[in-house]
Amino acid sequence: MSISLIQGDSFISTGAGQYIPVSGGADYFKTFNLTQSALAANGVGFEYEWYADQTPLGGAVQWLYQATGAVTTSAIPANGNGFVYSAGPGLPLYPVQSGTVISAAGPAVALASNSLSNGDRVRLTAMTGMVQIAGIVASVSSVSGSSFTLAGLNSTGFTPSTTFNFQKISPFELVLPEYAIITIISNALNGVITLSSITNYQPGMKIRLNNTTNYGMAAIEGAEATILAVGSFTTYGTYTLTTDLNTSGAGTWTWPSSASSVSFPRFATIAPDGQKAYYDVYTNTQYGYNFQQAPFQSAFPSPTMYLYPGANGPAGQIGDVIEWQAFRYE
Amino acid sequence: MTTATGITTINNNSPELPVQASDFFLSTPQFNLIHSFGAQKHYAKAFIGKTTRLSRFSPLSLIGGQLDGSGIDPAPEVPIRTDIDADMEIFAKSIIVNEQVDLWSNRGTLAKYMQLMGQWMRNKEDILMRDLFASAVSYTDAIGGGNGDIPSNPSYEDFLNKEAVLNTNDAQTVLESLIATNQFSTSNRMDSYLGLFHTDLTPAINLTENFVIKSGYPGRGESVKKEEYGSVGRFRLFLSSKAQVIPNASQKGNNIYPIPLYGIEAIGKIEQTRYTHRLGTRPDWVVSNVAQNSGLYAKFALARTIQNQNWITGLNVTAQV
Repeated sequence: MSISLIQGDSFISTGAGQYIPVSGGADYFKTFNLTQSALAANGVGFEYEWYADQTPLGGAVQWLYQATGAVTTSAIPANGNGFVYSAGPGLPLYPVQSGTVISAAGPAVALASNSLSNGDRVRLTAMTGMVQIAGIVASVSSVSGSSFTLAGLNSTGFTPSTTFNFQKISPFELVLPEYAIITIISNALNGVITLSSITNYQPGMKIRLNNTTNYGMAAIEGAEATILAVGSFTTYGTYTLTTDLNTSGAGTWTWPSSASSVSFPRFATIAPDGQKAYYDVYTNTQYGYNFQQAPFQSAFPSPTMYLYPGANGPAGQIGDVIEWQAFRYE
Repeated sequence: MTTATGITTINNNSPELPVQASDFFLSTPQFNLIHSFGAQKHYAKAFIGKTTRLSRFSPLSLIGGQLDGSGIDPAPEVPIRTDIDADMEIFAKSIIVNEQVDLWSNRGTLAKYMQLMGQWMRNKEDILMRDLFASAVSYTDAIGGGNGDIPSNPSYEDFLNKEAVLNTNDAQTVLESLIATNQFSTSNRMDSYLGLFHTDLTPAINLTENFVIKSGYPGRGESVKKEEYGSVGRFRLFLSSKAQVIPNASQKGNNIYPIPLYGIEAIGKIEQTRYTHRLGTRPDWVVSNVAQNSGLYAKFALARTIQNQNWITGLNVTAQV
């Protein structure tokens, strides 16, 4: 059996996890952190290897320096901060995990032992208390090993959840642009729509609102809106869309109570409905759209290797220069 | 020298060839291909980029318009156009076969591989359209089923609410008149919308109030697609074992089965001129230095789009009843 180098490239770490398309798949994958290799800092990894046939699947090997200057290796378990390889689109199915509390706050904070990364998407189920968000798909931020923040959700006034389950899911749906769950719509001349998850919508794209009637805003049920601007709560992504939709008199956004959630048709959503270049005569600004992202297209055109970030992750720390190579057995 | 005596059986005189292969391959499993039903088909010309733009005008405003005798013309209106873009994408599959497979396997193996390639193209196209339904359509939870889960099992009320959405948005029904005849060869449940559901939902759909199974249609001797299962209200329902399912996603940890419900022109499928469904071979002297491996390949181009979000909606349901 021979082994062939199929693909390789380099990137500068942003400190976040890195998705690398590997068009031809991979049986063996390797990263080399040029920056950390030169620094030789104690306990910091500089080389990572992943084998398709490694047990447990998804595990990896880390090469790191010790205080003595010696180089040692250590195994990274399947659920550790190594690699996640997906031969198909999206990410593999992650296990359902349990948490203890989701706070009634803006933004909501979930307490749960986890190995999530900022920007990951999770689905929340089995809520006790905050049933009105059961099944919601949300992006997470401010992740620690024991908690994560749902930056797109203001749960002030909800009954706090005392138990819940969460499951990491693919960062995007399989086809973009994708539908997304609305968590609140402001009352304004240019209504601002807040979403539970990070999206790739761009100014100039059009969206269709769905099921707003059941959230107190019947006047904009089924309305089409053009996105004027995208905002962000965090540095990890965009949760808000400023639109050309006048929502001033459209009613007040109202979540159902926990008690009535079972008989309440949820969620209110947006879905892609084309695009239109927009010219603001007051600011003399042309809002086009990012043509590369507007058309319907596959979110994951090829198998993907996900690299976890950090001092002991293959995606490294901010500024690290990282080489990667994908190999196939022949 | 001793001589063996007794009856000669296969225990003391077994066949020289322990195995023989039947000349006929068994059927390869094939799921129902339902996710292109009702899709409007377009063709993208070659040599002018990979993105196809579909455009739709909004109706002109019905406000005003009366001439009041002043001689002043009413304000002209600028038509509003929405553009919907879709990227052409190419998908491919290959099989590399060593000559020893062809030499020692049952006759016809390579031909079967080629048939598998053709099947892959049809199946892959169906799954790609399913992924479009799964990603770019708004779904709401069923609430009328009474199983206590979020979402609930489907109910007649849930389907009626969805029909109201489509009716209010002036969605066009499929299966009417000539279109029905051309696409589905049936008129027994005419003037209907379409719905696509997973085979796991069979019991839940059967127990939905006012469900009519296909064999119960009036004039059932007439041709109806085999993928059609029955109807609830104005929705004709088609089933597939590869329809959408979201594992463990309900409040109680059960699978959620999204059911897209839509009318005509809601979704679109664009084929690429000069690149539609290519199936080919690479001879062994091309693939291998010593002419020992040959290749088969299949590839096709496809663009997918939601053409009008007002004419498509969806229902999330669970299967427990």
